[in-house]
Amino acid sequence: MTDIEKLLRDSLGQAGNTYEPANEAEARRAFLRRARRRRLFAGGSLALAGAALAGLVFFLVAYDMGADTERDKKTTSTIPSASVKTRTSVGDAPIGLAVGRGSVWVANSGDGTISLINARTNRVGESIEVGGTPIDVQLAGGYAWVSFKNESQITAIALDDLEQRELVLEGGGTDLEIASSGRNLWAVSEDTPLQRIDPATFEVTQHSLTLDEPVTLTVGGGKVWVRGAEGAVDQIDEASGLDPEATLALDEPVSSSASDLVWDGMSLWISDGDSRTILRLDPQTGVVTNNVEFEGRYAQLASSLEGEVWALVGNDSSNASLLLIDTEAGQAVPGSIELSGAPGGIDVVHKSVWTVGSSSNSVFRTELSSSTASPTPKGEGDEVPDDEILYIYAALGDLFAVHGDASSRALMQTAEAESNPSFISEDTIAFDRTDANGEVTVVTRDLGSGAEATMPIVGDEVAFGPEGRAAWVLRSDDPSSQRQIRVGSQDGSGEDFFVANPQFEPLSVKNLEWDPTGTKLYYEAAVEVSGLYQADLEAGKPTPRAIDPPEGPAGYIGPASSRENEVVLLKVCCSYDGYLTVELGRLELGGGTPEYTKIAGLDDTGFDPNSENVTVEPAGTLDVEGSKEDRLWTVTSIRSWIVSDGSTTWLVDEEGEIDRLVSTKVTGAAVNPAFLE
Amino acid sequence: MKSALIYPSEISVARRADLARDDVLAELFDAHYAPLCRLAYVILGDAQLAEEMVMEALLKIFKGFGRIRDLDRADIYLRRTVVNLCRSRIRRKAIEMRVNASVLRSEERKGPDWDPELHETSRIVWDAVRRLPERQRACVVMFYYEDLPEAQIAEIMDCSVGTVKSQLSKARAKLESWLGATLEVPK
Repeated sequence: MTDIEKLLRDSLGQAGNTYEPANEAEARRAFLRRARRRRLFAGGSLALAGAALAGLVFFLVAYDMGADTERDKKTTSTIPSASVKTRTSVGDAPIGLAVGRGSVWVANSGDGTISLINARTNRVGESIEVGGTPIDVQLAGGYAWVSFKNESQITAIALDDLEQRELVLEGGGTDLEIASSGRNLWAVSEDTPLQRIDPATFEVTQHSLTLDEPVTLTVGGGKVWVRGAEGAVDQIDEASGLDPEATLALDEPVSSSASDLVWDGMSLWISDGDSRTILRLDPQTGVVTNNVEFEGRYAQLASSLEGEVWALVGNDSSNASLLLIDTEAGQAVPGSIELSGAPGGIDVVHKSVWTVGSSSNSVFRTELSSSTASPTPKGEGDEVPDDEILYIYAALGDLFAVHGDASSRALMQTAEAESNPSFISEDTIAFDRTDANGEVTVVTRDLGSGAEATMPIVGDEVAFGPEGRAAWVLRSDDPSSQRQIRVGSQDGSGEDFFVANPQFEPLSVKNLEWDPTGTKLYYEAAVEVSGLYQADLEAGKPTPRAIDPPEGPAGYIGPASSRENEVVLLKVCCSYDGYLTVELGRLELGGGTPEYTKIAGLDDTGFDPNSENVTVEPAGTLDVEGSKEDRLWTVTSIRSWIVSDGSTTWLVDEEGEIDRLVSTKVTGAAVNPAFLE
Repeated sequence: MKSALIYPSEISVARRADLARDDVLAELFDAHYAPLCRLAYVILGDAQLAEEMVMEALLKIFKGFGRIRDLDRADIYLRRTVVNLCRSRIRRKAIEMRVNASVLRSEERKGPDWDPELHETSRIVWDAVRRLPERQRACVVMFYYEDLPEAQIAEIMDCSVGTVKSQLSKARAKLESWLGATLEVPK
């Protein structure tokens, strides 16, 4: 026997021998009593059991209804202006929760259903039978993905028609941990390798991990973060699935018990049930930079688009408490909000924090008033009026407006999906609305009155130019034919031209952009590598020409134009399998060969150039100072661009400074023309 | 209308079966409760939690009573259930724990229980064991505390003997590296 073996035998023996179970006789009686009771119910006393159950349900419902108004007012909050707005009763033993497309999806583990709450009315609209014991739900690529207890199956529910499709992952692992990057779903379990599921094809790709026994995962900052049982964290490149980074070995031991993981845009946060702390990790070094203590056994974590971190803490037998963590100070904001029921899942969309009260069969919506994040604009240049909308972005099927006072609020939340926002004027926006049948219409909305109208435009990638003009890509049922662009007016009429001439093979086309004079149209078109095209609208029927600079192998995507004969774009390089580098650059188009100049490299930001939703929008002289809650807005003389990859959005200015605007799931952004040159 | 009467003979048959079952369950409890509690306690380091795990395991066994053909092997079933419940308890976050065992809703538990009389060395070693991943921890406790052979551990853990060996080997290596600097390993 080795030394360590002797030490183990002696020490564990001593540990076990010092303990005797408390009151064994009482435990014996309790066991036999509970066994008999189970037999009574199982033995056919169904009428009695049914009556008892009905009575119990009646009691609970009555108790719950009575308690709704009282208990939920009893917040102990000193979180500024936070309050529980609504409580919605859902199915039995709700656990996981996800918010998106104007709905809240809740996995009810007790009755095998998914409750669908309308986020505008806070009422349950649908109860979807999925069977089994659903434990978590995530939204990715047009589906709600549900994982189950004791099963290696995932059920995908189409957001549009609620049709279900099942997927059984190889490896046989059950109780899958799932996380969404918006585009893909990632799954892992102790016995299942990390797997990426492409919602478009349902193709599953397996990835190897450095660490053993993965426990939980999250997605953020362009990476999938997987925590192992020993506390180490593996980081996988979200776009490529490669594992080029070293595993983060934490500088403090963290137990493997009850834990959660979340990315706030800058740091990784891990909850540890044993030590009852929430730890912030430096994503580069694994060093624990902050410890936030909490009461209870569990802390479920969520971060908002603005980088706020929320924790739902508690234990099995008590009510949950909602904490807000000051990510600047690395500590909990004083006070908490008490919510009835043991803590379940949590998700944050904008100023609404959605939480599950597992044992109270409830979902709570807690809101922070916008006044909590309203620093006074200051800095050089003209101040931005507090109520002015600086820009609008699309995320999770909803549109959000960011105002001059740095507050953000949901512009609209409906049961349908909104995306691709653009400004027609300072007071009117247009966006795509996808209905339950998948039909896309272009809708306009008056920002003052909120009045909406449907545009008679049938097409995609609509871009609005000067003097009420518009351009869009015509839809086609024939994939072998070249796509056409229509340039015309907002009533749907206009002239069509092919996106490339001569027509070789059909190109995909996106990101249409007018130049400020209304005389040219720019767009990105591609078979495999994206290229830039320019269509001159002045000389009769437009004749598109490729305007890529002669700079060797590269792709050019997401053109933005705010000056005549100039396009700002992303230059990506250099592989057909996936782009490796990305930078923002300027293309001068005066007369001869286009001339390219680099503005800023985006390689180190986590930007994903392989995303389907890469966009560049002129941000005029919009500028950002500070970060997160301290973010201030000024108008300066420095031109900027909003760059988004569908996951994260950055502001890049002409001097190469890069600021992160919002951290997750942004699919498009548009800047108020009031701030454009 | 269908008669709701139950004939006396049926009652007596059912009653006899129940009584026999009660006796067996009581025997099972008496034979295994305390040792199983110690096993769970050494794995979890929490007395109250350990007792709840064992109670849940016994009730699970009761639920599958009709499927147990060989009561001599009940200790294997019970150990497996207790170890699995402890492992699950260790590794799963709250969201899944509540699904697993509603009976676990009890008072908030404090950190690892500790007997002040326990020797300092043992406490340090035990603390280190409790930092092992749950599978390695369970193997270590069953091998070094319960003195179970590797084959039986493999049966309980539903894995191969090779896996048990590798888990024990990994655990020993980790413990040696952790404890080497802290303790003077006895010669």
